[in-house]
Amino acid sequence: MPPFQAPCHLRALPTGLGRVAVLAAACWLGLACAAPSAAQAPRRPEPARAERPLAPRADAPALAPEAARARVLLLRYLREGLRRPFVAHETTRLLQGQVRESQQIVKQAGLGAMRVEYQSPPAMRGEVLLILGRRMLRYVPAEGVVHESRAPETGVLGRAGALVEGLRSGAVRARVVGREEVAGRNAAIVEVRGAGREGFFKRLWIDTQSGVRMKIEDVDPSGVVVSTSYFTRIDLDPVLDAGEFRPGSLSRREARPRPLRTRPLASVAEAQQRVGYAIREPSLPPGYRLVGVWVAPAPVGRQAVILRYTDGVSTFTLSQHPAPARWGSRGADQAPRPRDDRGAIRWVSGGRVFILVGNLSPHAVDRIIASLR
Amino acid sequence: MMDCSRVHPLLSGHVDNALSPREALEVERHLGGCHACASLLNELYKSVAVTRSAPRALAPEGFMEALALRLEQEEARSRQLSLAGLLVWLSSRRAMVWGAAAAALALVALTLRSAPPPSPGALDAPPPEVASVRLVKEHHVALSIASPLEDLSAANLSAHFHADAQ
Repeated sequence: MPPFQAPCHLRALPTGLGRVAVLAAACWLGLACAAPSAAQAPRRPEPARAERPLAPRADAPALAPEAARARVLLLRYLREGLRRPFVAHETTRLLQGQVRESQQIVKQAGLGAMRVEYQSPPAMRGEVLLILGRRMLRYVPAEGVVHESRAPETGVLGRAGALVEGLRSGAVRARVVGREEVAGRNAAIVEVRGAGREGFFKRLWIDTQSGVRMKIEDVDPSGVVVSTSYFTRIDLDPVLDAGEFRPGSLSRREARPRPLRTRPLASVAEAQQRVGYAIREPSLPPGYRLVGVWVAPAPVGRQAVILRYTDGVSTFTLSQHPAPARWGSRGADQAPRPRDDRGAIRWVSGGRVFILVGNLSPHAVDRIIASLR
Repeated sequence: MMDCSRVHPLLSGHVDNALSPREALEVERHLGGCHACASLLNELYKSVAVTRSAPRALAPEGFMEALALRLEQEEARSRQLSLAGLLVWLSSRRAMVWGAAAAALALVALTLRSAPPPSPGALDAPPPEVASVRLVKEHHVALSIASPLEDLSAANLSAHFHADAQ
């Protein structure tokens, strides 16, 4: 198990010149972010794009053309697509088990400024997600409550920097696998795989002109699509209401912070000190590493420890907390329930309740469960 | 935090996963520190398990159709009654007995139709930790904020559907 060091976003960066390069890329993105407010941005023509490939490391092997093209497109997505204002109609489908579908309007005002308004299903109608940098406000009309979460890791720039470095180092591999028109835009299909050779991977449909991500798929190791989100309509550079990107735009009766607003802890050892019980760490699938540790109140029993892992592309979250003593026989070992079709699995082992959320192959799940006995 | 008097009426809904996310969270928080309510919840789960482990019985052929027809007839009849007539009808001993019998039959029939076959160890089945799974899924969504490779919409949709998966 590789040692965990903090802060995690800095650990994701390389040392020396590589770190300088990534920070420079982040600054570049930051300058782009400082553009005038998208709400007042006028519609502008789409100029022809000159390709600026990402410089590989000196020791990196030569790239195949489809890989070089994929890097160019991913950079365009990071540099331009993430900040290009648009309003889009999006459909999301979860395809494992019983199919679930939602439809929402996505509004992007600039880098780290996004508003998602749910139209369906009925249970989600009226819900609004407001992303403001690392902050997410989730208005749930049925509860009359705004739940606030904060990405405890680095923000968009740091994440983009980590992806750039992953591409440079070869830990993240990308290649263009096709082209397709999505919502009237010409998109290149970029397949992105992490360091986990057996892991889930992603396909991104990137508008070759604007850099906007038009569609995304999560794909299991055998090539089966497990979830997808795609635009059915998009309007680039619309006139947006700046007021919609303010927290006050969400009608509410009360605001309620979610537990994970704090920064990640420095180490598993620090988390262990806080919770007062021995934290069990899993045997990880190849290519995965720990990126964060949090302590959060558990609805039942003592505080839960949340561990987050990534292979550079896919992520999974593992929570654990002791089974309450009052459970009696219910706190005894319990085999994992069949993996539900929404990516969560829960089991009890050695008086500890584990919950695993994320895309992992059955083999990887078995390995993790076995290692936590 | 809820007190016991507010939690008691919600326990049945908790067993059925019928509470709103907010109620479920409040109930779970209360249960974490209240032995009395936790014991009561255990008793409810045992009752459910006993009901589920009861031998299955098949209703006679045509039973459900006949019952539905009778209920429809009674419903139509009751709609035709005026308020005064309704009071008279309700006060009639025969109608009361018939109504109670029909309700009991309907309850039995619904139980027979919906009860799954008993599973081994049903009595020891732990209650679903719906709130815990939901919280971890919400954490997973929060951790996906600002990641250019995460599908936030899919994560959020997934976080919405947890109770029926447990």
